[in-house]
Formats: sequence, C-alpha cells, structure tokens
Amino acid sequence: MSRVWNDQLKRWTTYPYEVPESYDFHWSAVFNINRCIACQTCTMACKSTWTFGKGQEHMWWNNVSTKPFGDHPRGFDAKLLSMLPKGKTIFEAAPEGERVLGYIPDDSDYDYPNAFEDRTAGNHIGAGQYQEIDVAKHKTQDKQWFFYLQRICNHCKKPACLAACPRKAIYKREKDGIVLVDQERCRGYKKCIMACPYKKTFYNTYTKTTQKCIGCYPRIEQGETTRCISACIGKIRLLGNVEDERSPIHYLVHKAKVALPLYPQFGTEPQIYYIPPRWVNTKFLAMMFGNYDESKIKHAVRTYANSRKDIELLGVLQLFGTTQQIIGSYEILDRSHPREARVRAFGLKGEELFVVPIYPKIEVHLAEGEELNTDDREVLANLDIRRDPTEPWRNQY
Amino acid sequence: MEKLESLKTVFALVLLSHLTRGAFSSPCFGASPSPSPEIGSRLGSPTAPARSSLIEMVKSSDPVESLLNPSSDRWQSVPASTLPLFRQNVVTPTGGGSIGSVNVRCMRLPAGVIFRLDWSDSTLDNDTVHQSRFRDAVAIEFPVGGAGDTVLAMGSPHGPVNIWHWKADWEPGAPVMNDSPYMKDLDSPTGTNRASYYRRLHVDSPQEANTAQGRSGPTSGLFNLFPQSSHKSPVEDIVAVGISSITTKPSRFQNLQGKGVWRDGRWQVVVYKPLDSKDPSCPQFKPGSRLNTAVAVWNGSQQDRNGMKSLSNWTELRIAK
Repeated sequence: MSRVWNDQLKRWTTYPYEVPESYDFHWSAVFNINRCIACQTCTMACKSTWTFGKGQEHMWWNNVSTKPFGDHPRGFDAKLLSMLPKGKTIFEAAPEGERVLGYIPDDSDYDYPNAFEDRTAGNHIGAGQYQEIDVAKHKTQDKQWFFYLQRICNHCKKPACLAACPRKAIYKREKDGIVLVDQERCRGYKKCIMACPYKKTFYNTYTKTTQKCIGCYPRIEQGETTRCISACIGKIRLLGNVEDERSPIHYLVHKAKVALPLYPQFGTEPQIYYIPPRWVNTKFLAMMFGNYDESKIKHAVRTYANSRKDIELLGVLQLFGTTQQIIGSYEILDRSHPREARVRAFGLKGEELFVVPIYPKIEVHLAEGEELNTDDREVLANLDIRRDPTEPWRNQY
Repeated sequence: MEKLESLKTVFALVLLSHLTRGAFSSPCFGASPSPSPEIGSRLGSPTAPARSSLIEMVKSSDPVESLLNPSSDRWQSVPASTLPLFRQNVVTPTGGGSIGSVNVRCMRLPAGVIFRLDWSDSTLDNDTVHQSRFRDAVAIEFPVGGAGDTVLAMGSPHGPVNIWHWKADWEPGAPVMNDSPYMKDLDSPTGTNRASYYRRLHVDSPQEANTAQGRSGPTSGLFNLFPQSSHKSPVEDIVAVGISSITTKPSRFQNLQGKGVWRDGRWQVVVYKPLDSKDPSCPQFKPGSRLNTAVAVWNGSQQDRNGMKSLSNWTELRIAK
C-alpha cells in the first residue's frame, strides 16, 4: 500500500499503487445539475456509439437517473454507503484479503435503469395533487424535491477498478488520465465490478470481459469533447483539463468552488464535478457532494445562485455546450462594461474558438401600469439601463 | 513495491516448502488438508492413495480417444496421488480453501501426456453468463523447461511457468444466454428470432456471428479466448512470469484437449497435451526424468477466481522410463 494525497478529502490516504502527483492534462468535466431535464440524449448518444453490441444490452456507460431514489444499478450508492465506515475510504476499509471494499451487484439490479423516474423525496404527491411551496418557510429549498443525476465513469485519479484488478488489465493513461480496460488482458474476474464504487464497469455477458466508458478517447485525441457532452441539448456539460489554471473547469472547481465531486468520501478522487441543484436539501447534497460538509454545498449553491452578479462565473457558464471542441482557456472581454461583456474561448492549442456575449440583449415588455418585479430589478440593476423616452411601454435593456 | 514484497514472501514460502517437502505446514496456509477417505474406493484403485508428495506418470500406449473419457475404466488401473490443497493466502486477493484435495493420475503416451484430475465439489458451476456467478476450474502448473524450481505463485521472470487451465464453462453445453432467466440470446444460431438487430448490423449469417470477424463490440479483432461462444477446447495453454502476468499462448500453441464431467458431486477432468518440441514453454516429459507440478482448483460456488483458489504445493512428478 502506498501513502497518497487525496486532494478532495484534503488528507493522506492509502492506495495499492503509487500515483502521479500531477498531470499535464487530466480529462475531467463539470455537469450542471440545475440545467438537466433528463431527456437522455446523452444516454442515447453514448449507447449508439459504444454499447450497441451483443452482450452490452444492460450497459449504460452514461445514464441519467432521478435522485434521491433512482440509479443504475439499483441502489448502488445507498448500499456502499451503508457498508462504508464513516471517515474511511473504500481502500482503507478493504476487508482482509481484498484491496477494496465493494460488492458485485445482482444481475437483476441492472434491469430497471430509470426506476423512480421523477419520484420526489418528502411527501408523495398523488394524482390530482400539486406541490405546495411555502416560500417563507422554505426560502430556496422545496419540501418535495428531486433532481437528475447524470453519471458516466469518473476516470478517477485513484481508480478502484484499477486497484482491484489482479491482472493489471486496467490502466490509466498518463497523457489524459483516461482509465481503460485492456480487452486482450481481461479475463472477466469481475474484481473491478466489485470495486468500482460508482458501478461504472460492466460485465459483457458475451465477450466475458469487463467494459467501461472509454472517455471517448478517439475524440479527445482529436481535441473534441465526448459524445455525451457534445450531444447534450441542455448544455449542462463542459469538458476540459482540470489541471490547467487557465481552464474553465479549473475555475469552476478550484477557484469558484461551485462544482463538487460525487461521493468524494469513497476516496477515488472522481473527476466529474457537479454544480449542485439549488432547490435540494443541503444535508442530502452534503452526503453526495460534500463529504458530509454542508458549508461546501452552501457555498456552491450560493455562488451559483448569485452568478448573475459574478461576471467571470456567468461568462464561464456561457461556455457550456457552445462548441464540440475542448476549451483550453478563456478570457472575459470588456469586463468593466457589463452590457458589452463577452467571453472568448480558446482551444487546447490556443486557437480562438468563439466569442459569445455574457449578458444577452434583453427586451422587457411591460403592460401599462405594470412594474418590474424584485428579481428583474435586481438583474437589471447590474446593467447599464437606458429607457427609451419615445416609447415608454417598451424598455430596451 | 507491493509486488516486490509479495514476491519476497513467495520466495520465502517456496524455500520453506522445499525444506519441508511432504510435511508442509506453513502458518500462511490456513486450511488443513482433508483428503476424502472414499476417493480410493470410488475408483477401485489398486493403490489406494495416501496424501502424496509424489506423482507417478506411467507409460501407456492406449489410444487418446478412449482416455479422453474421464469415466473410462482404464483410468482405474492408474495409480493416483492425492494432493492436499490449501487456501491461497499469499497474494491479495486471497481466497479458496473450500476444496480439500485433488486426485491426480497421469500417463505418458507415445505422442503426448494425459492427466486425469478428480475432486469433490457438491455444486456444478459452469455459468459465466450471470455477473454474480463463477466457474469451476482446475489448472496444472509446470516450470518452463521442466526440471527447474521456480516460484509456486505464477513463476518469476527468471523461472517462467506453463499452466494448463481447464474451465467448466468452456465445455460444450455450458449455459449460454438462452439459459438465463434474465437474459435471452435472440441472436443465437439456434434461436428463433431471425430478425436480429445485431446480424443486420454486423454479419450476414448466424455462423458468422460466432466467428472472430463477426463479433461486435470492443473485443473484435483482438486475441482473447474468453469471448468465443464455442471454444475449440475447454483447456487454455498459459505462460506466466510472476503474479498478474499470466498470458494466453499464441493460437498456434493452443493444442490442449480436455473433457470434464461432473457427476454425483465430483468433477472428473482429463487434460491431454500433444507434445510439440516447437513450443519452448512446454515441458517435454522425457522418460525417466522428474519435474515439479502443482495443481489449483477453483470452486465457482465460493466465488473462486484468479488467485482465489485452493492450491497444492510443488509436487514431484516422476516419469516412468
């Protein structure tokens, strides 16, 4: 066992192998949960590209499920959380004779990939009923809530699948951190399936080998984003190099701290980061994204909710889903004139990709006697507002 | 580092095992051997075996075809050695220990060698379609070149080993997806669904669907014997130079034959190797010579796989003159 630094837990942990201290480029992504509508376009983009073959029917390298109850395979996270002693990683909690704490899901656990779709936490809302929101009592968090969780392989910095493979058939590429299974070396021992805390390694019933998300490496090598990310119609996903300080991913994760990893307490340092949903119970989010630390969630939600006042954050949020190229860096133009502010994105080689406005042109059409509401006023107060005296009913901002 | 450490441990154990050959009792091997008393009587062997530190390879000129039947009467007149098996406690993941002993019989034929192994296992496990199930299997290990001693656990870079690995699910008739309560193989050559999605995508005929070229998915075009839905032989020929290193030999050397029968809570497995002097990793079993042999048994119902197995110590194999 090696002693390794876990940057998400901010402490030293154990891992069966020594790991690189840093990468020049590490594949990683930010998923903005707030924007997802669970249309499953990402899921089908992945399925039709990589897992349409025989023996891959049950594989969903990308899936979108409804939290708190749903996921694929069924209840994978609740089960592991109940097995894991608090304060220990899955490597530290490994039973005698094993390298990782885990379990192999039952075949039937894969049968219903989208069970509990749109099912809320809190009181069940029956047919004909509607959700009551007590604004005074629940300022931002609803009594009944659910949210969509988009999951692919996390291409962890300390992959549990790699640690558990007795064959060393799994490897992590030095050039981009993508974790792959060597299909010639794999002998179907299913140790990785047992070990992966996110259950994103799958047993192919026909080839008798493990197969998993390959991070769309043929596209990454061309400087393009993955299929699930480029197909996302909600523009919730952004791929980039978390190691590079100029990268928008680095900004969201390390500077704004608005995006958080999924179940960091497992200790694998997953490299998909999530902007947590604003309307969800903080305690629940802290369990999922904060290693039980509610302050991290509160900071992320507050920062995201106030993004309209933060021109850099708002600028970075405009980069999501705007191009199929991987964005290497960005710059904010005309920062001091919000109305004119734009964000310019550059590719991995520094080439300019696009420029988009940060505040789109807004037209507010008011009926006679109608006033702007508080929220609108707050938005517009940040802008350089000029009313058109010739047409008092039509205020262009 | 961890690999080095474990190799050191293995070296130490192997050294210990040679010093105490025949009366091997290391604290690292927890399970005590428990050879079944009924083994000798079941086959009516004239030499009822005790716990053995020696395997005798007798000479024979019987036809291979009849010997490939593990239930053949001919096998009853061959002396058996009973090897005690131990839980594998040296390399993580550890496991095994549920099979107490294995009986080994072997013969030197004019053009090859043949082994018959039998052991008690109350469950038949040959289903690897289901994710949560594992196969029964048995393997025989030899140091490459034959005579030299090497590390019991998968050999070493200076002392490679040759392993013959029989797998229950590679036998003809093992469950394929059609037998699963959860999964149906609509693309099976014997299936009724002729409007197959996969066939239209990739191949033109059901026969082609089972060839390497016809396979879809990430393993197509790669050399990996596991994906083949119908295996040429249930026995795989492997070399290894240390822990985590086992590698399937190239297809031109894959000439092992075998047959396994499970009956009344007992596996009987025959493995035949036609001797090929062109294969540098295969021992030549020269008459009158000796070499080390070890056996490992996997019990699928106990989730045995990889290093999680019941294994014997190195045991001397004496080839009759």
